[in-house]
Amino acid sequence: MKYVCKLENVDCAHCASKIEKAVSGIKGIDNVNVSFFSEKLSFECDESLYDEIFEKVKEICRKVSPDSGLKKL
Amino acid sequence: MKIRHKRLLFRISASALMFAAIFAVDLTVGLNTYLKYALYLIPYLTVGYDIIFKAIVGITGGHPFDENFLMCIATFGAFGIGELPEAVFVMLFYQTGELFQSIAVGKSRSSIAALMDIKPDKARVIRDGTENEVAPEEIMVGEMIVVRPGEKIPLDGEITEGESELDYSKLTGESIPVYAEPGDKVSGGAICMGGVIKIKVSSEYKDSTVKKILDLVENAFESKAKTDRLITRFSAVYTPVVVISALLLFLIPSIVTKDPVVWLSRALVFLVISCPCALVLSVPLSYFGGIGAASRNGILIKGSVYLESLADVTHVVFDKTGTLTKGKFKVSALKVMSKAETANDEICRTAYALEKGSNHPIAMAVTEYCKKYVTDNGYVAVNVNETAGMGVTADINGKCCFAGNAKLLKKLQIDFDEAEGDTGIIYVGSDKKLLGYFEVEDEIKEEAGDAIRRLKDLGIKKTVMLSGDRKSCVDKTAKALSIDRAAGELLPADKVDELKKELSSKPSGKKLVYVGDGINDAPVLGMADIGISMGAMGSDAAIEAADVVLMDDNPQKIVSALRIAKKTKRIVIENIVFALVIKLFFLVLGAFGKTSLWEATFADVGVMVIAVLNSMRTLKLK
Repeated sequence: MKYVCKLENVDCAHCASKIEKAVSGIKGIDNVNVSFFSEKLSFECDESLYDEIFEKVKEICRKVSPDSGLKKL
Repeated sequence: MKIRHKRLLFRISASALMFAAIFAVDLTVGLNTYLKYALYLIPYLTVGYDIIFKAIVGITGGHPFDENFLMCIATFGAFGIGELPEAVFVMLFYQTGELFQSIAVGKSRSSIAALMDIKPDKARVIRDGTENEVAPEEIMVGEMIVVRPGEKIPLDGEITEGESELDYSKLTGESIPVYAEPGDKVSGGAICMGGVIKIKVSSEYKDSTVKKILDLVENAFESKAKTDRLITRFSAVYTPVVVISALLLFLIPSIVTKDPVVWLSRALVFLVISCPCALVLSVPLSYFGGIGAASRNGILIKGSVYLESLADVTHVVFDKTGTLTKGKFKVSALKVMSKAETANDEICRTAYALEKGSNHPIAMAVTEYCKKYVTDNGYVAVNVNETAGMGVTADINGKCCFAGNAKLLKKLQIDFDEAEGDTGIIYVGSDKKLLGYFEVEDEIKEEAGDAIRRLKDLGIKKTVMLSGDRKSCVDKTAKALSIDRAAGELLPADKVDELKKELSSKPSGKKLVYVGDGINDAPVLGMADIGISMGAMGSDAAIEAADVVLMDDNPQKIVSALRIAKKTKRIVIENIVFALVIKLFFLVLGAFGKTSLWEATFADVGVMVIAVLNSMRTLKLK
């Protein structure tokens, strides 16, 4: 199932693509897309894994871009 | 300015002041070395601590080679060789650059958000005789809403009471107001200017035009243009190469000349100048602005890829009816075969019965004309069969009747003399006998001729018009519009073949555009390099089928779309060339020792600021 989250405080295009690459590596996640200008991060995963994966994605975002915030939409 | 921008600005200002103070003191009084190191460290850390932190995170996270890493090496190195003020300055200026980037992106985002301010916040629905203010999402099809002057119409529907001038500028980019009265269909997002109107809602918010536009624009930013992706790949390779080159620049000459300090200094300068920040942000920012500018004109581009491709268009293929012509056919003459008095009557009743169920513009014109003659329901058509591109057949009062073009007659094997002239012809008959024919004409849009001329001025090499209408009529229209080639009497499948022909004759690397109204066009729209649909307001088919959606039906918008695309491309190239040339220039100078760290930083951040400002020009394009 496709999920879209709001990715806040990422103003560097380079960081956005770093996040995209890093998040793509999470197990169980597919089709990661970071839309830097519209502040959206989307991905596909199993409904049952969503909460767990969301936390992992949030962690990665924080690592790459410490100011960033990830919110469920 | 956002809070985090303010925080960074504060850090930069505080650091700058401290830096200036220490520098001044050092200059006048002179400081002891250890004290200097300790003092300069304060502004350095104040402004740069997060960069150091991010660099460490990058290394431990497995992606070490980025700007943060570059900056750290450059500044640590500078500290190492005693160039203390330089080290602080580099970090200070770099952070200023980062702040600038952040603000630029924020400004661009709010610009686009303002353009896309078509979403209604509330709606006034009449329930149980009273007005209730509710969220637009809660209103159902068939409910009545009230809109007052100055308010945004929240949902699509039909006016039942009241009249008003409507401002569609946020949707179509057209500033001329549209007058609407009961019976007229209106779109959510338009602003009611004059009087109070009551509207019967025709679609829920989630299916409304506004929602479709917003979704479309949002998704447009997800795909990346080819140039953008190229730059991303380039910088991924670029940074390690630069670091290694800097290392070599330091090591090799140091060993040869035995003067490591000089060469370390030059290597650091090299690192600072080579930072790719300018390119990485300016390219996507340009496309972002371009898409935003297009939206402001009522041109919705579904992705940067299309904006990029539009700049390389040399062939434009048009659908005729509804695209270059108004799509409002009118019967200009009626010719009957028989001299009998009742001939007119008979042909009109037959035609009316046959055509009244069809949505085809020509059928509607015939129906309109014949309505005058139909006073009773004597003629009823059963077994109605409509064939695309040909016409209609049905049984009326036991007789097999037909209304259509020459192709239909040939298919039905009816003897007839083909009518002369250059208008559309609808032959009507019954029992394999021709009763007569209607001459039907469509009006060319006033802006069409101008649009074609301007397209040619822009560099379009070939214009083609495809139509299902009669050849002589199509040729006449093509000549009036100065279109290079026209093909008429095409069945839907023929249009696909014609497009294939044009695609194969086009030089590779150049693009072909097909412009239609999205109805029955889906296959051709998909085949073209870029499919553009017009008059998308209220037409779901048009919005779905094309790559570029024009909200209104003015052909001049095609020209605007191409112009915005070309200007955006030019700005992107300007930035890339500018950044690379300046950097190369300073890199060479730096290698020969003619550039200091001050100048290098200035060059790097300066180039980035200029590139970003240049990119933001796309937001203002028309």
